[in-house]
Amino acid sequence: MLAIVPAYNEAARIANVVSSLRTVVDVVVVVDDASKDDTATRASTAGAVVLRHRINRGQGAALETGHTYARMMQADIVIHFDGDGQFDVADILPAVEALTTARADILFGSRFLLVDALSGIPPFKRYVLLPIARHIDRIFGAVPLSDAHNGFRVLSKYAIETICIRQDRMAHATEIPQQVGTHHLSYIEFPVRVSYHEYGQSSIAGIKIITDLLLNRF
Amino acid sequence: MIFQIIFSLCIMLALVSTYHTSKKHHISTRGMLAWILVWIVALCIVWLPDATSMVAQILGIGRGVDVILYSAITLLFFLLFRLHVKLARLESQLTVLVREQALSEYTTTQTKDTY
Repeated sequence: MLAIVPAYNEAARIANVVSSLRTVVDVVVVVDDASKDDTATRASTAGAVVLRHRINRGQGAALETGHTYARMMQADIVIHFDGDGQFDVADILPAVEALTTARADILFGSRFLLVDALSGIPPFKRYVLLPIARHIDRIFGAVPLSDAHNGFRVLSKYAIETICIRQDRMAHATEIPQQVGTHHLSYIEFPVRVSYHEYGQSSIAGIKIITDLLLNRF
Repeated sequence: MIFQIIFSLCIMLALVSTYHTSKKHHISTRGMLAWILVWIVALCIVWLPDATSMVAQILGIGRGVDVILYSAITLLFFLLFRLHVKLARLESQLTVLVREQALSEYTTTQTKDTY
């Protein structure tokens, strides 16, 4: 079992994320996307395999670098996990179990499947941004998901071999469910808890994602 | 008259810069010739604006200036599109390089550690 953590300037939280992940998974791969702080050193001290992008290429590119490593290592299960401590490692084992029981190829984490977790989502995100994102994803041919753009995913070996992320920036979150559709992969959703920090993606970032998706058509 | 002189000077500058760029092999000879043609046509239009009215009449567009505007905008959009495609290709090639380097750097440090 291998966890991929794309990280950009996460020095403050990365060590905690890596050490808590190491209690659950076999290998933690931190893809440092040319951080300006010492994310790479801290992640490596905490026991992660650190792959360093020399030039910032975006989260999608970082995930695909992790995928390439996972393919080299013949990993059987890959977990996508954010580097800022938003997710709870306690969700990983139940999620992996759910994926294997359902014999699905890929599992998407969702903030909308737990009633008590819903209240934690900031209202603007919950009622405005995420519903809009869901519809846009559908327009671009993604399989229907209750939560758009949740960074928690579990991929089977088959999914890692099939999915190839070409969206370097944030639009990969739409591209992955798109490819699930085109490659006829089976998928399930799984409730995960997300804790919010002050920062995160803004509505302007959403516009950027749509532009990326449109431009990708050419 | 002033307009024509200013524009001609600008076009001359553009011509010189096109020639130098091609000399440094940043653009192909074909590309250089195409650009020189564009600038020479521009020069002709600046000095013989009535010529455009003739073209306009043939095409059924009201004024000569409109012909220039329409074709210039179309050309610009086309070039912008080409530029965008090229840029996107460069970006993805850059990502591939950065990825390969990240992976090979990691594997080399690993082999060093074992010895």
